Amino acid sequence: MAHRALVAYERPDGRYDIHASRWGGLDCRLADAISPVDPYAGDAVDPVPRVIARPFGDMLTMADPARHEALYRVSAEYVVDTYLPLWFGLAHYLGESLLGGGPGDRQSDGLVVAVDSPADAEAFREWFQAAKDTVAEAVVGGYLSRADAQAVLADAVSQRGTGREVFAPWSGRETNEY
Amino acid sequence: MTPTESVRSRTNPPIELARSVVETGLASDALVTIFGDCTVDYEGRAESTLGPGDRHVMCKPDGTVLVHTDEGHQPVNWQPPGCTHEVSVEESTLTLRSERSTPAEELLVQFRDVDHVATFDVTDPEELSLSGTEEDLRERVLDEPELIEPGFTPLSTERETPAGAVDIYGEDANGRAVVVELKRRRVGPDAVGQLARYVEALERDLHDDADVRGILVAPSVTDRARTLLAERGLEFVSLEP
Repeated sequence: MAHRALVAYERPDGRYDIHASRWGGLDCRLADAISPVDPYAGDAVDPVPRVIARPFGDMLTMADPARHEALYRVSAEYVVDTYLPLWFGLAHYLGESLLGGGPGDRQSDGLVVAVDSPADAEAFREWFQAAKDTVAEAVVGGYLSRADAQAVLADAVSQRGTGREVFAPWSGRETNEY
Repeated sequence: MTPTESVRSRTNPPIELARSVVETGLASDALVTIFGDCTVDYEGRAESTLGPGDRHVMCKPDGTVLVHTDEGHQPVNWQPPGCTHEVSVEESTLTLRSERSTPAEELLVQFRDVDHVATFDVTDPEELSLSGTEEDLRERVLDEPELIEPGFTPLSTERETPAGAVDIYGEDANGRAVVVELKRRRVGPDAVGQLARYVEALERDLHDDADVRGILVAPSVTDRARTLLAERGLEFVSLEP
């Protein structure tokens, strides 16, 4: 709902406090609004943390790719890195349940990719949605299995993500850094 | 609007008159300024106290409060937009209380002496062309539920479901449960997937034969998203943020 995001603030001990934002996933401009004098960008980030003192990877596994549209990592020096969760779920294209998932459909499958600006985020999102629409059409038309479609998406994201941090927090794949 | 209608001010007003001017200004969404000898106490993420001194206090219609001294461009104390204000007279002191619930914060300005008080009805043509903030979209729907459809009644925000919190949960004119998902940009099929998931989760939450409507609110949707909405019996309302 809305354009939800998670924001991980680094603590002095190197671990992170993870906060939620209702609208921070809109256009990724939240990264520019977070600063030492305004850590929660006005009201953009809930000042009450969801969890405290966790490793960075916990934000990735906490994220729900069907629901969270951006993730932010705020270093102790307030350098803000932005990541896009990319949802590989296809059940909604196939008229299936979005809760249990259909046979072989992993609702929580997907990748997380680093972006370096709001413009980069917008371009990556548009590209990914077009790629997902294309493979979904192929699955709906019976030309591609769902597993193959998701593998195609993963390959495409990895190729387009060359030079970026890419994480696979939900699928059990190895975490890759290209 | 003529100047006499849009501006009201008093110099060295009796304390009760100052209260009346401020109260009327706050109630009518005017910009309110008070200048005089006051103390300032803030309690919230931290605590601070300013002893007696001359300060200029400005209350904006959006809930912002700024406390200025005669130095610098930054206020010495402030509250962000969204705060609620109350004015009262307590023991011959004009008390302005500004509160915010999340996080819990309170700014208390107490004037022993008011030198000047004024209210201004501000009409800024520039303001009309600006898009609203993120939260404004939800507030607009809550203030004007008929933007969704006639007879829609919001019942709660952030209602939790197994699939996450729902933006707005309500009932239509026939008493059917309605899930409203708010988006501020053009959206594609994944937004339909999100909405479908909330609808399913709520149907499970309520009871087996619950019939929950799902309405996607966004400036626009892609053709593919429109098709998927129709296939799932979900609805779309076009609303610019």
